[in-house]
Amino acid sequence: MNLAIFRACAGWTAAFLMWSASGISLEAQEAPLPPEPEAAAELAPDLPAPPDASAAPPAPAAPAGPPNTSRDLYDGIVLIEAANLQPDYINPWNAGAQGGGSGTGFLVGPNRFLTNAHVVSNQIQLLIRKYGDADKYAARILHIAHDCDLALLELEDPSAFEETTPLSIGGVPTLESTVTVIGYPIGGKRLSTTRGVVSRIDFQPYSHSGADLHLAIQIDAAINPGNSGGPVVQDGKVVGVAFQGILGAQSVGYMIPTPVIRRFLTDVEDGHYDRYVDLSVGTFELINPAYRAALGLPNDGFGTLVTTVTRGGSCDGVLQEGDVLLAIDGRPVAANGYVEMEGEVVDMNEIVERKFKGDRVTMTVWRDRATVESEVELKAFDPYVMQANQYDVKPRFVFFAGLVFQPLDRNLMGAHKIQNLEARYAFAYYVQEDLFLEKPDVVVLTSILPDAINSNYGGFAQTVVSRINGTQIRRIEDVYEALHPEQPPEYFIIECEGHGMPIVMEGSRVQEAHERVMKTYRVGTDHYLGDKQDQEKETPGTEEEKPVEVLEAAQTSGGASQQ
Amino acid sequence: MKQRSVNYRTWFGAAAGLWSLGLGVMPSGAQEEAVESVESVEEERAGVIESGVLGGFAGAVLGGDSGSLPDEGAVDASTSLLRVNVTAQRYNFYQPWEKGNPGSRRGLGALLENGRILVTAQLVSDATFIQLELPATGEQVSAKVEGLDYEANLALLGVAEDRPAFLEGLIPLRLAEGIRTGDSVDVWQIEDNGTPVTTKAEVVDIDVGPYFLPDVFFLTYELRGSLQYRANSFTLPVVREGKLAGILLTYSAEQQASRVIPAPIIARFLEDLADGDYAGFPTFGIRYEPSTEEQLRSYLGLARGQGGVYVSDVSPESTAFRAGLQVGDVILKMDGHEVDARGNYRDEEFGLMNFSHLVRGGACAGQDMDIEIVRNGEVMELKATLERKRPEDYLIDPYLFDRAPRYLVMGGMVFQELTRPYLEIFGNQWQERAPLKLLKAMQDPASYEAQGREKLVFLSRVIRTPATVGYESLGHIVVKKVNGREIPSLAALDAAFQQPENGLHRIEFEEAPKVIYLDAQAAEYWNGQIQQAFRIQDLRQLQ
Repeated sequence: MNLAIFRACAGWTAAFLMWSASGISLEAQEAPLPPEPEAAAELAPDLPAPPDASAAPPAPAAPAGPPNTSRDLYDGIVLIEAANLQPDYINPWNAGAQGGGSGTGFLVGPNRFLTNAHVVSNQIQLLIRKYGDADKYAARILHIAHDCDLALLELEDPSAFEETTPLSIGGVPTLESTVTVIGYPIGGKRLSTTRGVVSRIDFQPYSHSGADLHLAIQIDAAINPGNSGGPVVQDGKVVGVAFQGILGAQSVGYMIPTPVIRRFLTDVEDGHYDRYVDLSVGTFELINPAYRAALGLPNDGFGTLVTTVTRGGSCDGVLQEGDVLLAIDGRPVAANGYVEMEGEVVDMNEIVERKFKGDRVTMTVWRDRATVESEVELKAFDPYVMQANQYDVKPRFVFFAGLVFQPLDRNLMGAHKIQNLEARYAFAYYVQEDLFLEKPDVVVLTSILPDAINSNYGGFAQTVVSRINGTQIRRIEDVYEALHPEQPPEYFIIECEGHGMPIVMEGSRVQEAHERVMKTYRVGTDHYLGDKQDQEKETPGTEEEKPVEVLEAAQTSGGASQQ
Repeated sequence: MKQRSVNYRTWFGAAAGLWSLGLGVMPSGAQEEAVESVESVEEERAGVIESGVLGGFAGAVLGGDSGSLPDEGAVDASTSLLRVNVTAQRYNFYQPWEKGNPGSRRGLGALLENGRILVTAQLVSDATFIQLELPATGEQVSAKVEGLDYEANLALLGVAEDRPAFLEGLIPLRLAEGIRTGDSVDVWQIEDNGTPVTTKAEVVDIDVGPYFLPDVFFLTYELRGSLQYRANSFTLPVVREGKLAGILLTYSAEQQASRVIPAPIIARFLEDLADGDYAGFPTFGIRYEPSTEEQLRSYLGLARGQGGVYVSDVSPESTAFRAGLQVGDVILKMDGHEVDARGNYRDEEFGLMNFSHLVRGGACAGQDMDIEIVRNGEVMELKATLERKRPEDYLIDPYLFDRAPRYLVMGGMVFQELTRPYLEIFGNQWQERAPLKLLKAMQDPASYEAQGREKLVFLSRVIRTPATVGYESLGHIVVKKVNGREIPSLAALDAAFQQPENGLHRIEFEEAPKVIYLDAQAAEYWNGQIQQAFRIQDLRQLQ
């Protein structure tokens, strides 16, 4: 059930990939293939025009070969080399491990390169290389969308690409139509192309965040580490961005389709990425005849049951548990939650997926045996981010006399391999049971660096902290404040869930022990509570500042290790 | 390592070490290994007293006039042991109307007075057929269980057929008394051809240690000595000077160490059985932590060198609970014995030992016990009346043998009462893999008990029928109400299903989808259909 989805970014991720690449070169295009030209031709007119359609005629430079060859696009397809810093959630005061990788990107407008978020996440330096050009050009992130794994880059000096024609964005290719993947995957240094057909169009988990589902297109062209962020092309237009595959499966690669790409590009037009909006409701297939009879609904296959309405989500106060959703934006909702859209049957969330923060949807609801019309304003739902992989944030923590306190999130769960039942429960039910209202941060005592002051408390590792000196702990800041009162108390009393016995430390001994432990274990700084810049990292200004800050940290750590 | 047995955790139901009740047909070697690994997991932190005992019997000889007993030395494995062949079949907790594959086990039983044969309870758990075999001749007879305690891991067998002469010529063993650390004992085995085999071993430690069930601790002897397993194993008698000193509980070939259920526990078990009304070993019902940490002691107002253990949890309706013990109390004395900071007291017989033995070693249910505690800096006296909390008294049964799990099938929906063995069907890693909600309920049953629940009734799975269409994916969700009634037990669920509203059953769950409906008539109809298709003998098992 849990497929290992990998992201096709070369470099450190490549180590665990065991795929044999079966790249089909462009020379093989004469080989007989399924009837893709007609299908594609039929589809094209139905699609909305790409924003930059006028600026994207096929490049004139194609010497041989038939028209519409992908070869014309090569100039706009770039290699992206990223140096990054993987944050250290075990020793959060350290800068983290330096690494690097490479992926692919492509020009979508003047000095605008599109790639995957995972190619440039946690980056400290980005270099872009042009096809057939030995030089590397420094680049920076303009916008990054971790929820849909896309990023927009720009060059510090755009002159190298002034003559290059941007690629144009096409539509959704039909099943069985042929597509070409172009990029810089493992297996060689120069540009590579592979070709395959569209195998499936469906909602899929996006492994970069680990908590998002969006439309994705499965293709059987080889997608390998390094292909990430590269264009998937049909008839000279981009129909997707190659981004992930499934380890162990054969000929299964995924690309981000153009509705998702367009949504990202539109979202950032105002200079800020707002993230996906969400209904924040749970639904249940309403097909049992007895259930329908109990609700007074005809057995006609329409209407899906609302089982949870998340507090603070878009539908809070509008929908109720037990409501039946009959229609969204005028489109009838089937019992299984699907709607018909542009001739295809898709998950009803696809209606919301194409909307933006502040947009509205209308809903027809069956409640108490009557129809109710309502409307909600869509917004992003922040608390779920705790359950998603996070990037470009420094781990928050409080270090106190050998005790390490950290807020629970997906990164922490993975790094510490947390087994503690209360912590696992809080993570899994954080949104579902509205735990976020009570505790914006679930603070975990992740580890204890042994010292005379704490040596008997090793058994408390990985437990959820409930109170410190009587103060309920609702966020990491509470920990810092409770442990740093104006006058040190006689005892610090730390209570943890599942432990009837508290941790007791004598106030008079703590300061000395704290300094001793920091020195012994080389703990450079004793807390980081996050800052506003982290929370609004999508704004371009802060993006520029962050790498510098992280770089300094990296140098400090490098210096220390040489001593 | 010496102190490992001190570190108990939790009474039943807390997330203790990994324990798979893989009793089936494992070769005895594998079984021992499994037990050993549990022990190492148990080491983590402080623990629980499950029970305790106090009974001053110090190696009581069991009843029976001993006039006919022969001189010591005249007995050996061939005169006093029987082979015990067991066929066992465990219920399938996933499809509770079925049993799994039958398996067989072999062990040795020690003949006691009155034609009773002593074996471990583990050997006969879920037994469907038990046979005794004379080692010398191979002659066989059916046997029945006459007394059994899974916690103490002891069972008493008797001949089931009317063959009074079967045991003739065999010599019953008496129980040894006064075994001490340093004593030499013999482990008895029998070759296939009936020849007795004796292996020497030394008692290197006497302390409280884990038994066969999770979170159950009793007095044990630890032996050092290399054993070669013969054809039979599992239950091996340990003898000193011709008297039964105990029954082998585990053996680790790597460490050449074995652990033994000792004579004092066996004596207590036999005494209790003798009056025909088996009360079992009392349980205390706390979890505790050592108070060795200086800062903690100073905070609690404990003097240096004073001892005492910190009560970190009290099981509802337990002995300790009824005595008024609270979380945060520090136990200084039990039954007049000082308890040190690690939880040990000085036993007149065995020396330094975990204080759980005071409740679960020699004491009997109904006995009173004085407890001295410190609460908020004040020394207080509490009086406890020892009781036994039976497995069925827990919200979630910690173990279950010899009977079917309780279940009820309605139209294809399979409801059960949660038990620990149910969670264990998720495999060796069940504490990671089992549904979080159910694990949480086991770890912290108090919130459910506060709702007046006797048992935790949940939807286990859904068999596809036209009545359950759309519900196939549901499972492992706790039932709140059915047809408007609270569901404290499976019997209550059965009663609630007698009262549909407007021809529909309304079933409310703790989690999404919160509510579902079943057509009462359709459910009845499909009950009959799946009963045939799945060969379900009974649609409900409420006993």
